[in-house]
Amino acid sequence: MRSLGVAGGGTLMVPLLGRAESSSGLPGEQLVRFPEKTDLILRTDRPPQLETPLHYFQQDFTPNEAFYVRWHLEGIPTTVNLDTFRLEISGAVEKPLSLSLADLRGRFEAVSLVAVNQCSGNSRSFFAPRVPGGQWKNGALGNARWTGVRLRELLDRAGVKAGAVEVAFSGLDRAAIAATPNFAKALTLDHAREGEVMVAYEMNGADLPMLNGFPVRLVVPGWYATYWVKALNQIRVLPEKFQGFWMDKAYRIPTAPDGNESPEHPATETTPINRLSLRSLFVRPEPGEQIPARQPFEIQGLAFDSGRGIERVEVSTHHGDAWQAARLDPELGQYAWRRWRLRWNPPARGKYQLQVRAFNRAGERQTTRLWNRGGYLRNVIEQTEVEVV
Amino acid sequence: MRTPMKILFRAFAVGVAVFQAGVSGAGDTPAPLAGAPGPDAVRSITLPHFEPTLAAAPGRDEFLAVCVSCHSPRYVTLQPLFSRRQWEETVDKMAKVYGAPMGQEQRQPIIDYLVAIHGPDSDKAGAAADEDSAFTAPAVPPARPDTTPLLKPAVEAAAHQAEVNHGAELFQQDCAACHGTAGRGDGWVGRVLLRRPENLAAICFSPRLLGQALWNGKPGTAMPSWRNLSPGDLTALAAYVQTLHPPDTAAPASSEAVQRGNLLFQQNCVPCHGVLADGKGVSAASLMPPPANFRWKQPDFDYILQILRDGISGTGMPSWKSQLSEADRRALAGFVRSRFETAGAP
Repeated sequence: MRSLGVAGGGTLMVPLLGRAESSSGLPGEQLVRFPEKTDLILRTDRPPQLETPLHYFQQDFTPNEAFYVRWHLEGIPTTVNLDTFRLEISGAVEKPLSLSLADLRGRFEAVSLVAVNQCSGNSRSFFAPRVPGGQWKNGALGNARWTGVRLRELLDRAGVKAGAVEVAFSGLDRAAIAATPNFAKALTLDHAREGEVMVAYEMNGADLPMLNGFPVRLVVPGWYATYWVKALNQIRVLPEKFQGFWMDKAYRIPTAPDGNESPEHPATETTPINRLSLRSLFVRPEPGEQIPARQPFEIQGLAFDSGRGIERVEVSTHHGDAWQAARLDPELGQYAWRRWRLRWNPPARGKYQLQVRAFNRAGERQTTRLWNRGGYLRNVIEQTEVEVV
Repeated sequence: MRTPMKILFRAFAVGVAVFQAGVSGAGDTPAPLAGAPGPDAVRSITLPHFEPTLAAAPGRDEFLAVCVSCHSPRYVTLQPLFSRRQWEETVDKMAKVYGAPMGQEQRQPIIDYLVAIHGPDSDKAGAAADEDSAFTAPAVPPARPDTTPLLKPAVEAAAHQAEVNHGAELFQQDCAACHGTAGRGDGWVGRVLLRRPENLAAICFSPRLLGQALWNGKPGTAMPSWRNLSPGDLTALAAYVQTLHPPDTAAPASSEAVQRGNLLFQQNCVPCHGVLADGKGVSAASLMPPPANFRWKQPDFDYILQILRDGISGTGMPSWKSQLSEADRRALAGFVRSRFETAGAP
């Protein structure tokens, strides 16, 4: 049935278990509607993990109401009072700040950028062997225009003390019991001050939905979404390296350059997950979609990386042979995704296996094999099966 | 290193700080609704619930008592079918890393349960289990021996106070997120629960009920069992929770009102709450959470009225607003309160 054959240079593809699992939107998945959101795929509730249906990725910008949702701790914010909400900037600073949303909007320069936000575990359900965690298909992903203030400007206003090395971030979410580690993430001071990390109060020109981090969230362009702390209310400048469960124990990847390990030979060295891996995805045809023979069909998809820039996307309609260059849509920004298209005339009826791979300006390429215990960094060359009728 | 621009920023930062001086920061605790915020200042959502009922199998009681406090049961069914070893690792991680309040004797039944309903062979076993998967089928015969340790609160005043103080610390640490810092059931985490946490300030509890609730959790709610706590800690918590309810000064209902309430109770409430109001009606076994036992639990008069009016969402308790007049509901409230064991003693 399903070709598990040889890709490109002859590397064996890892067989996927069970049915052909390529993208989101398999029939039988439950769609649910949460407040301020449209129908999304229910991965789990309390705390919610809601996946964006694939068809939304036919748009440049993922609508706020369709943007995926993922929280760690049960006590997610369901009420925010802007009269009392403050973003605190404290720690190794000359002058701690306590800023309301109005302060952020009125007292700092507003900046905008388009950036992909992708969950570290996006596509985890395709790992073989399977690993524990949120069983996402490809929809823990979105592209939006983020507007807010530069983190650098906030830190400069507070005056970072000499000797500070890291900055830690946490939000309004709370665990039910004290023993559960509170969610906090950290960046190096250099990264925090490089100018593009942002405290965003708008997403696609509107308030953030509560489930996406109202009133403000951190935006870390080119980095996995675990760093994009939602409902951000604490920024602490630290004179030493941050220590905390969500950096030291969770969200870690093998230190090897490709983040690869195997169940038999688990990596002994791990490091916190960081930059987005280069990857490309199919958006159309959707899994299970039937398309007519001998008529032009536009294969569509998207590609992104950590900001190096997509240079080329290639598609194979022949099991990983005869790669053709797809046409790239105009760039939306350094950290945005790049949509691509390829006109295809399926010559005859039957099942076709499509593959897609991207190349970036830094010379990176996608992999044919990836596994790690966390189910992170998935960026293998995608394949999807389409039935031509 | 210091640029003129930065100095300017610093000067401005001082201004911001002065401007902020009169405003209290958000602090470490999310701010509750303030007195009279502006019309657009407060944004709220109410979360929907899609929590599945998991199949009946031995160990479900332990699973419900320990695991669903922090997450929906869907976190289990979301996962691939794990081997026993993977479930062991997962359960141990939940306890050691995330602090699930699991007692040693609860570990094995939970692992067995997860393997049975979502392990490598659960596909085969699943059909049989699913047929009686409804709330209506208790996983195990209900008459299990009660293993709740007997809590022996201190008698001497100073020792009692020390116990209450220790209980207060434990409460703020592990209970306040759901029950609220004053026990009113309005904690930050409590807001996301379908079955709102109990308002501990509006109910007088018998020590025995508190002991059972702490030891067994409250099935059908997010209240976990706390078997990882020592008997001393449990005693302290129970002692503190009893102080959350102010001393009861309400006059008991008149005997006529109690009589009328009794009649209404026998007509309307007995199937669930039982003839003796002890929560052991014929339908009780099919309800999660189980109906209240009013011999061990005495809610305030107004609190009962509120529940009779609104029902309790996420439970079998309906609203009686359209079935019973307010006068009848008041009579019923008086009767229910009269069943409390210490109050009802001759």
